[in-house]
Amino acid sequence: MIELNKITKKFTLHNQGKTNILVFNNLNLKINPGEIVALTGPSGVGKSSILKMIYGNYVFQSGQIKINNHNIDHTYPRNIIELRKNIIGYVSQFLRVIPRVPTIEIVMEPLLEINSDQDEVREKAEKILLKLNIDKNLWNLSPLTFSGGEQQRVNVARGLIRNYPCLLLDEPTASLDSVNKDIVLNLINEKKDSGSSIIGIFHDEYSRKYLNAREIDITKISDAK
Amino acid sequence: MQPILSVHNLNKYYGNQVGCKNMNLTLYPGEVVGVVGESGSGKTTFINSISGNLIPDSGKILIETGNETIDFLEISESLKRLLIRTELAFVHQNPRDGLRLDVSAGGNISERLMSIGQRNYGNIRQTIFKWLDKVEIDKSRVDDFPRTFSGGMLQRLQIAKNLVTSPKIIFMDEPTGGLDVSVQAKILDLLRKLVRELNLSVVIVSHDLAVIRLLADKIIVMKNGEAVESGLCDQVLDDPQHSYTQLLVSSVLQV
Amino acid sequence: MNNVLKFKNKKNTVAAQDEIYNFAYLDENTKRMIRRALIKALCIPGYQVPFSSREMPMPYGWGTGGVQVTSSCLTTDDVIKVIDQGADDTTNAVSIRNFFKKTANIKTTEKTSQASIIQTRHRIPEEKLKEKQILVYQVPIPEPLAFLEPRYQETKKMHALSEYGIMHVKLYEDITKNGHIETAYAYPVKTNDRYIMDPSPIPKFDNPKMNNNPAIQLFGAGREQRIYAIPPYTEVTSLDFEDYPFDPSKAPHKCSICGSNESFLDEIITDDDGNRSFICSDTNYCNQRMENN
Ligand SMILES: Nc1ncnc2c1ncn2[C@@H]1O[C@H](COP(=O)(O)OP(=O)(O)O)[C@@H](O)[C@H]1O
Ligand SMILES: [Mg+2]
Ligand SMILES: [Zn+2]
Repeated sequence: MIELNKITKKFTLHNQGKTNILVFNNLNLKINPGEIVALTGPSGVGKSSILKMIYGNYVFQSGQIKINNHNIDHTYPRNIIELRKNIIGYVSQFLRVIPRVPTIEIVMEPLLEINSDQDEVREKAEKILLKLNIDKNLWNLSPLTFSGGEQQRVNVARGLIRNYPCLLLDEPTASLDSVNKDIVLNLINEKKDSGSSIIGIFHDEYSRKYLNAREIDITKISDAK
Repeated sequence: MQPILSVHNLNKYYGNQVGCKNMNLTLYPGEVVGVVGESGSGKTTFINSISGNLIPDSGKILIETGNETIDFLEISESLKRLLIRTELAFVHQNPRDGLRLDVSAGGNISERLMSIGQRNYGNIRQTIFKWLDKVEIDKSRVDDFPRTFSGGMLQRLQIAKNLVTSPKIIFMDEPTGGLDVSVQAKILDLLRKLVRELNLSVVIVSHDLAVIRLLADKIIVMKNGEAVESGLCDQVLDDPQHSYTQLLVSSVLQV
Repeated sequence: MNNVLKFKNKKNTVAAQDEIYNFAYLDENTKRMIRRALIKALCIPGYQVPFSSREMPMPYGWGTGGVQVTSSCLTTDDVIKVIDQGADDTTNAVSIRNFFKKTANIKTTEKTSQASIIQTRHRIPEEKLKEKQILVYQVPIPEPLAFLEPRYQETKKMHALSEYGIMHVKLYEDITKNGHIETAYAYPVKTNDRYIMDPSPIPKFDNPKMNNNPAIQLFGAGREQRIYAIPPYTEVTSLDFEDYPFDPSKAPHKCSICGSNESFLDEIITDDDGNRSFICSDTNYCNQRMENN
């Protein structure tokens, strides 16, 4: 369960005349287990910012964010680290990895956090890479040289290899062809059916309908702008 | 969970000159804390003051060993030095500062083992090979002198030398400074793996935000000897609150 | 210990000695200072006590440390033996013996069993030493850690805190390079399970003799200004590895004079064809065996 209560979020640009940008005021949102919420609204309205606040990546000035009843509280970074380790999974828009690290290891990493059996983890990583049509020949290469679509699928594999109770998806299907898009959407549906609370941004109507997502237009739930 | 290292209100002056002041840090097992800031901001002073290389003027440093909490600034010098060569490790920016250049690679790795009382040559040799493997130095180089190694190899050797006794807390001051970008990447990758595999707790200093972003869970941003902002690493870098951090991020970090 | 402690009250002026020197050359204040260092050294076996070394009428490297220690220990009743690499008759041994004859007018001997003080360079006599005998070693480099840690303050700390891992690094390097511990002289020891000590450049063959020895063993380094000691019946162990244990063995030959296969041997070239033979390095031991046969 993900809950956002009365969230205010603003950016203060200290080096640009202390400009204040109010992004959200009194933002309220709740995602239940087994539910997919799709955020909609024009670009720049703050869709990614919501995911980032939930993930602890962005701070907020007032209000409350609760993940399975744990508060996101930046005065205790350790708690956020623990939440990320155990509860929140996040598939970002772009793949961010250390150069030279092979694809297979990147995909294995989140699972190794909780399972030290290298062989078992490797097997699972191979399985999901196969499912996502990443050619075997690529597994031992760094994804930094891959095509956009391949990179995105590696990113998805890494995010979905575990079963997080809460899942944040930032345009996970944006640069995929229709075959691979369906594969990813099916994977997401599996997570939903297993009881995850899922919130995501999906650029296309097709994906939102496929996932049977509850659509929320941000401009309607926040007072700002 | 208890922090393995906590630093409270630490101050270090050089005469009237501030080295670092009012510094705090909490490090949990398996966590990496990055310390960033421009040159002269006090990063090295801070890491030296919390690792036993420098004696701070005031403050408190608590180390959790599992059995007890050690007040690092209050214990006897002998206990302190024992801790430094067993539970703690320091990786210098310049590997030459952390290695004995007139001792073979294997001999360098062996020192900490023997200083904790290992006396079986065969076993020591095995451990050395295991660690050369971990840091990806060819086993055939075991008896070569460090001076025949490249910069990246030297740094990896220094890491092996320090980690061989499985210390709990690792301090690193610019461990990839002065290395080529591709060599840097390899070392960062190695460090990441070791951190997870050995559940290391690390304090790492760097002026390179990209390095810190890749390795650190938490971050401390220093300026003029003080922490201007600290917290979750990606949060501080992606949504910095302090004007200095905003400047630092916008001018340096274009990931 | 009696020997060391009894000088304090003794007047050391004797009519027959050469009047231009104080007894045994050194002035009484200097001797007192050195004796204090010796007593401290005996109380902390293996610990290097600094002392202020005096100019001696011989150059550094010729046993000035040993001579000052001996001089401070001598009483008029003493009988002195001086050996250099086991031999009583080398130039160095003879000149030090003459030095004490001239400055202290005391009895000298070549017989190990009859000496109350033996000053030595690079050997321990083969014959077992007894209680109340003193063995004085001449030491060139007293600091066993010096080869890897040149800073004196740091070595002092390492001793104080028993940080001795580095000593085994040296042995490790030795085994790695040679397949065995190659160090054959000045083989490092641990004294009384505490201080690591350089035994001076004696052959490792002699190391076991230091252990649990009834005699007092004193070490003097003149140039480096250090004194250290092993009191009687003190445990002295040679550093090693479990799987490369300390091995004091010597070349498997017999002395070609006395036939002993238990003593440490010098190798000598006997003719222009390069033929070699081995003879006891301890000349007194060899002579005694010949006399007794
Ligand atoms: N040994 C020293 N003596 C005097 N001032 C020093 C010394 N070391 C560092 N400083 C000063 O302390 C401040 C912090 O330096 P330092 O810790 O080296 O920063 P950094 O590692 O971030 O470059 C600087 O103003 C520096 O000039
Ligand atoms: Mg620095
Ligand atoms: Zn003989």
